[in-house]
Amino acid sequence: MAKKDNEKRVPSRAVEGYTFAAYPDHETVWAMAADFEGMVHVAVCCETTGGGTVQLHSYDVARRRMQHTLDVAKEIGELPEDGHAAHGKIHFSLCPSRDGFLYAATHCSTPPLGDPMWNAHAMWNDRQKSFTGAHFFRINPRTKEFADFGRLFPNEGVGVMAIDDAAGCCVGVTYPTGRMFFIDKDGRNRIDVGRVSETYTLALISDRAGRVFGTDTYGFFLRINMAARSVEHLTTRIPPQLDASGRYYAMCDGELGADGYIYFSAYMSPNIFRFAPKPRGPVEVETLGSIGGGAATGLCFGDDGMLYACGRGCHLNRFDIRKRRSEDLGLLHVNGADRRYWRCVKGRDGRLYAGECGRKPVNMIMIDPKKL
Amino acid sequence: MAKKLVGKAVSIVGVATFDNRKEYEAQRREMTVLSHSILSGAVHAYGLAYPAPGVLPVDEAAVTALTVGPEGALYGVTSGKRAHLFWMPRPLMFGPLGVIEGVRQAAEGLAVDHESMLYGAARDKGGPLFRFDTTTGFLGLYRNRCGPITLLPAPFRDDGVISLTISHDRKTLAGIGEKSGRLFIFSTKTGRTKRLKRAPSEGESFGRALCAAADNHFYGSGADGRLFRLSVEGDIERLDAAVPCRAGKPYLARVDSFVRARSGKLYGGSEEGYLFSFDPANGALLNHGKGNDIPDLHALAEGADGSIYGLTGRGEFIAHLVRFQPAHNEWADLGLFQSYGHYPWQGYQMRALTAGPEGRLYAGEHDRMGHVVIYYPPVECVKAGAVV
Repeated sequence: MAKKDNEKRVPSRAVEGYTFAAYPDHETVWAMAADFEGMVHVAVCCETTGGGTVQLHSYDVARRRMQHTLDVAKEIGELPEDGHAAHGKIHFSLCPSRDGFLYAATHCSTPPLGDPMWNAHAMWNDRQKSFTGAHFFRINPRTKEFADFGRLFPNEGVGVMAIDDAAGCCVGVTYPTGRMFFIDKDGRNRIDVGRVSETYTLALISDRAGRVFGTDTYGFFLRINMAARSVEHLTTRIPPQLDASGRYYAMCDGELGADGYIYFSAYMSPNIFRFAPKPRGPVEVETLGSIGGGAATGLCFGDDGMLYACGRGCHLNRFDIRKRRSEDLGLLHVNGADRRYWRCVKGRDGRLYAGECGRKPVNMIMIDPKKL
Repeated sequence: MAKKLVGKAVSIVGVATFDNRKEYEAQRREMTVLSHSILSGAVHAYGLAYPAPGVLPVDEAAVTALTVGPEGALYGVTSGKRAHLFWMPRPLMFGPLGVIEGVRQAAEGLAVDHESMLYGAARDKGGPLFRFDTTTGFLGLYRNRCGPITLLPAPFRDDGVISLTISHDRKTLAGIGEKSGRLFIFSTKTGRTKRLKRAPSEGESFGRALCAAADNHFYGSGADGRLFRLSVEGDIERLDAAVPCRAGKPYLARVDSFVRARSGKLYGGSEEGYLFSFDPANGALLNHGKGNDIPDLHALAEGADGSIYGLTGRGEFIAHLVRFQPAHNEWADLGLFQSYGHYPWQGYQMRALTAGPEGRLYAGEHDRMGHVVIYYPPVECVKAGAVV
């Protein structure tokens, strides 16, 4: 559908973009994280160009300066020249810890160098074109101290990962087989739980009380006890839309609110949901309302208590969780183009930092809610 | 114009939109080449533990062995934190038959004797054999009174059973010790176990499967892939025939799966992925090659048309269904198990395979949320043979 020229735009005073011009083939940012020391970390991913590798950047919020932190594939020794599917992404698996390190795992789907496409199943264990397996690693963005803990599972990427500092471990789910694992922060004691999902688990949200919540491919809830390294399959399911078959209707993004509820969106759904993260028994999911259309992505609370999300194509939306009402703030037009994002975090300066998806070269978008 | 209208009609009833039938067929051919999943026939998966709460608990639903009983019902055993027996009298109709007390890992292979008693074995060290009366299955489903599952003495004190099979007259069980490779036979009539030495070998490797032939002997493989014959009395005889292998790799020559075809021939699958046929009548062994480059042809079943179906790949590999048609001497790698049944499900670790009524094939997913997958071969593959 052609865009109207007079379509409302987010005021330009409220938005700013940083273009990763050094990476013209990179088109997605699938992971963002704000650490405990005021930096925002961005995984600049390359999904569609064969041989593209993920580049980790860090943005100093106070100094407003971007730095290149890590050429991940180079550091983990998985160079695209070896012919295998490239380690082109960090996908919802960037976990800042209170120890100053960022814990992360690489992900697949980027084709091998020179190839136009890649198939996780068909190229499984292919001697030339397989994905060698996600690496679990950590880096201190300030000191650049780096440790690669090696491959987690042959052939599999890690689609999502969360950390619990108190339990001293990370939990993640692989792609394509949907296998859950726990791994200690020192890279030891990996526990292979087995399959928890048909394929995608897209979000793992911590309640900051030792539990992590997510759903499987069909939207059935998973409650993870980090200390016990165990997972519970709940009967609770994301309320389905009339037009949803159920497959891929999974928790897509979310955040713990100041009121103790976890707010989340479902894959390709405009609805905002919430639930109280109970330690036992089924959880009760409330549908708060819709942002109006499209898919609600990049959920992030601002300092004003509003829940910001990208939706309706490239529109920025503000959702009032008390009034359960959404406001369309307009088209997100930054650096001469409409931008859509999937991940967003709040910086210490109160600005929202969002990672664009879908354009070359890709941008980090900075949104100042006070100027909206 | 009329042609265009026909094309539009196709697009309305079909899944995709194509201008004409030719284009549709070209796309279909391309999809068949590109797709990694089974497109020939239909695949339906039924969750034992999914969605929760399922028929069985999560972590106890890894399907390990399947067999079809005399009345056509499917019986299965799972592994995990506990092992369960279950049955499936017909598609979409599941019933748990009970927990096998003290057993976590079941052996590959379930067998039904001449009195309709179902037998299985534990893979756990010192684990027992177990027995279930299949005539009580319906009681279990409708009155919650199935079973009981009777535990029988363990064949080994310091070993588990890796596979189990039953003789042609359905009166004698034979099995292999997982670690030691020792053999045993068990008389279902007297309930006595006879422990035997390991399969004749000079080396350390031994086959992981036995097969009962029409001559009422069992066949298996020992070191260097040499076949042996085991009588129901426990006498072992080494044969000249050997499991095929790559040059210089006899240590990999071991049989991982067996099925007896209606022709009387035994078909075996090797650890390297070779399929071979062995004729017990004359001792001739024929190597049929491989269906794909994935090792470990670990489960075999005969289809209604005489095709031999197999599962290749487990562990670090994901399972493919392969088909060998002896009549045409032709292989096909059918692909991965992607179900589009009542909910789509992709099976990766498939362990058991058995043929059922009306040309159906049953496969078991060996994972914590195990599924029974029913493969309906294309109609021509069912019609071509005598329907079971």
